[in-house]
Amino acid sequence: MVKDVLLQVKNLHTVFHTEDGTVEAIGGVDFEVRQGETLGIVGESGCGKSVTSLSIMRLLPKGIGEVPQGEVIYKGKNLLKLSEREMRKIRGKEIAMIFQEPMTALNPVYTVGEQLAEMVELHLGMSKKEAYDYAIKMFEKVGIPMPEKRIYEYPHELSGGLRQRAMIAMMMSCNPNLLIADEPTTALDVTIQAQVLDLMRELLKEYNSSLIMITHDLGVIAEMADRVAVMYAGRIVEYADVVPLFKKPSHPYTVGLMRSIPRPDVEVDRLDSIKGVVPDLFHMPKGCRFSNRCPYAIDKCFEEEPPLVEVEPGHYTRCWRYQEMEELSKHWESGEEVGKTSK
Amino acid sequence: MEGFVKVLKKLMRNPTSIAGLLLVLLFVAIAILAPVLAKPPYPDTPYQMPQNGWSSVPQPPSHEDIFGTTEGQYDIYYGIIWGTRTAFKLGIFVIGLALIIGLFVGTISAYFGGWVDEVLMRVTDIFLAFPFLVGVIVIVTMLGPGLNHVMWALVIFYWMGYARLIRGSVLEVKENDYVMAGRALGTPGARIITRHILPNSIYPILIQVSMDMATIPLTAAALSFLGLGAPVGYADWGQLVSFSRNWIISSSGGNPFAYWYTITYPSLAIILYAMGWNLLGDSLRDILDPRMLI
Repeated sequence: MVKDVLLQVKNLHTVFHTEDGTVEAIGGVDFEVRQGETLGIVGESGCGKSVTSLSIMRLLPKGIGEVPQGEVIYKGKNLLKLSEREMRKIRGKEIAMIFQEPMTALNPVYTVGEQLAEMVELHLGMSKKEAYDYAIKMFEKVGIPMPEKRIYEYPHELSGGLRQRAMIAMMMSCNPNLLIADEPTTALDVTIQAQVLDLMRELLKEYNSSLIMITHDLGVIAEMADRVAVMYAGRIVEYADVVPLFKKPSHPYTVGLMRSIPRPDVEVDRLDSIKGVVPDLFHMPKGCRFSNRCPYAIDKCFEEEPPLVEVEPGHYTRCWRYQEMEELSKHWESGEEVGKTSK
Repeated sequence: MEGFVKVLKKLMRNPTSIAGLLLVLLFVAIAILAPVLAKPPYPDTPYQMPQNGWSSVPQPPSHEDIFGTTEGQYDIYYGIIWGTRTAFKLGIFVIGLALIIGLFVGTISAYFGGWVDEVLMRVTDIFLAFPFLVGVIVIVTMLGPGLNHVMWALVIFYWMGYARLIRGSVLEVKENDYVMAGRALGTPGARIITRHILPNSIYPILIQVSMDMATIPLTAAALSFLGLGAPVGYADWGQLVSFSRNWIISSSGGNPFAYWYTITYPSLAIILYAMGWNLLGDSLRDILDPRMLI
């Protein structure tokens, strides 16, 4: 059964005008999110995950960030073409965002209830009284104990987990069709992480909302996502349903990511890691953007950027050697330039 | 209302804040009760200090003038009581107006940034380039002497400090995630400024305001002294102090502090008034800012 496509991002480019010149942070990203599904965007810091979400919401810093080309089609409307006023009606009501650090994302001078109430007053046109009753209901729903008391507390009076719950309550309060969660569990400890993820999954199911989950944590992806986009240096390098992705990663970056997380069933002395860091936007490698860190890079990789090709139905990758990847991925010699034929 | 009670309760916990609050309340009471505490002899011109003769030598406290008189025989007690009203009038008017202008300029400047910021801040710089007192004197001379004109002149050259302070504060606050979160929730720009940015950036200003409540009357006094402010005999602490200038140490031999009352009472009023505001400002900051509780 193919569900309706809720959000479609086509060839999205985002550039930043900096003092040292214009750089391209996102270079042609395509993906889609279907109704009720979760798309995971995974990658290490600095590869454009958050910029993608800000571009969709049109929240890039004014005068600095710009989307020169591409389309973001939400329910048939191109969000990039909407007026600021129309966009404001979409934000919060249709598409909501959950931030990484709930402490800083909540305004410290208002009680959490007040902040939730403000939002439903704004978008759903409730009266103050109704909004507060609604706030209590939402807090109850996200599992905050004693909600009728908690809504009168300030963010600093709540624990990290409760704060993130309050944030989620706030984001779900207008029943948005699409949630964008930018590393929602990174700032929480592991036990709380699991609770928050469970809660999000339940709410998504109840409201039949879609989710874009931005994270660097493959564990979170495995647990939450239906489809995954692996991003590297402003490009999607692999895009697939979650099961095929984990079963048959077809891009060396994905392979590297998977090898660098501990697994209880495999005993190793040392975890593998991907050497180096994401190249800086001013000094992108000429060919494949991952070429300078890739253990399997061949000459072609340094000269020409590979296109996004379909490995199997619905599974795309951006690598010249994808056909050999299954064999190659068996040994990951980080640092050793295995597979590099010459240079 | 509940919040107000909370603030009061917290104020009552700290002795210095109690002192500040009491001092300010005392002066408020004096200002309100001025007609009772010192009945004006001419109800039409209550701010004119009554004169008890024409001698140029101050007279010590007596039954009639309980704080004594200044040179020219102005009643010090009367001057202090009605001077309280002058101090409040000046402070509220000048700071209120300067604050409104400063808030507006500073917030717009920081929030929008770019050329708006550039233009507004350069205008601010132009105003700051004038030496404060010289600028005020020029304006007062153009408008003509009088307390009202002094107030306007002070406003014209007083808002820049607030504008800069607010701008800096807003620049800092607007980078916070909750401002971004507010935008992500579809909150309109004006509402983001009034709900999210201003309440978080107002605290440094609050302290500045409470300090300025004390300095503005002093500046006005300096102008009165130069003959540009309140007319001679107008109930004004600054003027009382300037009257006492020649009598701080008696020059005619004998007890050098024979005329102590001329300087002591008006100065005491000024000191207590300034201290009250400063103490109150400091403790209000600690109490009102929820971020201080973390």
